[in-house]
Amino acid sequence: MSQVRSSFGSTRALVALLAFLLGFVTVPHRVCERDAIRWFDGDPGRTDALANGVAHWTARELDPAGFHTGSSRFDAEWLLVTYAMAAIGFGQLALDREETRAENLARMEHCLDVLLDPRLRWFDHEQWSEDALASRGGHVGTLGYMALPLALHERLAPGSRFAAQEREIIAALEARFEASGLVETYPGLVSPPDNATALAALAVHGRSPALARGLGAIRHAVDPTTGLLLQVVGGRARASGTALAAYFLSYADVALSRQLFRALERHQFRTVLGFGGMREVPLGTRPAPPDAGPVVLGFGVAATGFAIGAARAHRARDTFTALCATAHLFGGPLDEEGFRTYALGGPLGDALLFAMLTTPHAGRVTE
Amino acid sequence: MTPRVPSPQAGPLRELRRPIVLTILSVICLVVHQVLLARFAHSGDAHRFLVQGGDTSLVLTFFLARFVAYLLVPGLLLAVLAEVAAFVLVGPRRIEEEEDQD
Repeated sequence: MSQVRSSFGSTRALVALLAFLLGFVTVPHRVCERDAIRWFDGDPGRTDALANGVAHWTARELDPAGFHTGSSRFDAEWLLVTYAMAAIGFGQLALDREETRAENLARMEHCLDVLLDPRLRWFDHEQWSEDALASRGGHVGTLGYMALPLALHERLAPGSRFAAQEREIIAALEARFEASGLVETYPGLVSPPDNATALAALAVHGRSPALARGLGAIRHAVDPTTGLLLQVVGGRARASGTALAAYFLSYADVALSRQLFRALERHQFRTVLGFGGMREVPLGTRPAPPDAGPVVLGFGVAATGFAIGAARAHRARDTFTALCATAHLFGGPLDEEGFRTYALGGPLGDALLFAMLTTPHAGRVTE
Repeated sequence: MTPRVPSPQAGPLRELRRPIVLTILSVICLVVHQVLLARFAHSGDAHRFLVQGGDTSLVLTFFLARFVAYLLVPGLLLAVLAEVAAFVLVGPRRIEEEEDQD
């Protein structure tokens, strides 16, 4: 009789264990990806809530020290990128849904006013010992992040009070690309992903010989083995830079953007229990330095986030869904009274995800 | 043939002690997670911890609660359902034990 009892008890325990494993393997990623298709389809209930959340951040006077990177230069870079990506997100949403245009243009203009304040780019001035707009070369990161939202705004509201500044920055970038192909971000540092930002701005402004020259140069920065983009010229190919470039180049060169995104999917994309992530460096190579955000078990947080935009641009629904599941788990979204914010994102994370989750289909803006 | 009659000593609550404990723990975890999520979404402390690191026990509790809530709680609740279903369909586990003792 004790054998019967033991058998009954162990059977129940086994069934309970199997039920637990079934739940562990099948439920979590489905819970986390439940909003992904709504994001993929541009559901106003999702996009407007995140737009409200980002507008809540950008309406404040954000303190760069609030980013807590431990470096005043990085804090200042993050502040500039926060306003730039927020403005790009508002612009993308305004392009996508006419009925939100007035509200999102107003939000965008607030971000542009902050972006154009010379005090915001002191870190760039410090590196070059001259202001980006006063110089004749370099500064592609700072100018690119200012130029793309300006170009988007000009497309949405031609001839606005920002038009002259947009033409000035675009002309400065065109001169640099015509002169040197790829342009330096800081003295001695050429970053193809930063160049992709500026090339996106040129494309949104209008096709030009400088754009063709820049795109030709950036193709030479693709690693022939992995198909990933070099993070810096002379450095290694990495997923974070490749994913960011794939997102920006979806404005400028659909074929090149798709090529980079397919390389990411083929070499760097992995799923664990249905959660998708991008490995920061190819398998078997040494770990990447932590200069592009945290890397968890080989997966790059930035690479995974940026790839969401590239996946949406190229209509890669399954990849987008798996990446969104991870963003949900690690981002910690909170929806409250029509506002969405990510607990683990802060202003920069919210702005980046906003831009990625509202990415237009590749080529839609420029073709 | 084992009679399907619960013994007076082994009531349903005692029989379902494990599922009840797991359910209570799951609910506590979900509540703690939701409270901390709201707190950190408003304060930005969790983001600071992610960037800067450091010893912040409340943030670590949030991380732990979030991962348990999303990754383990669904499986735990399915296991609870399986145990409750077994109790309802097959009967109390301790009947055989009681008879064995007689």
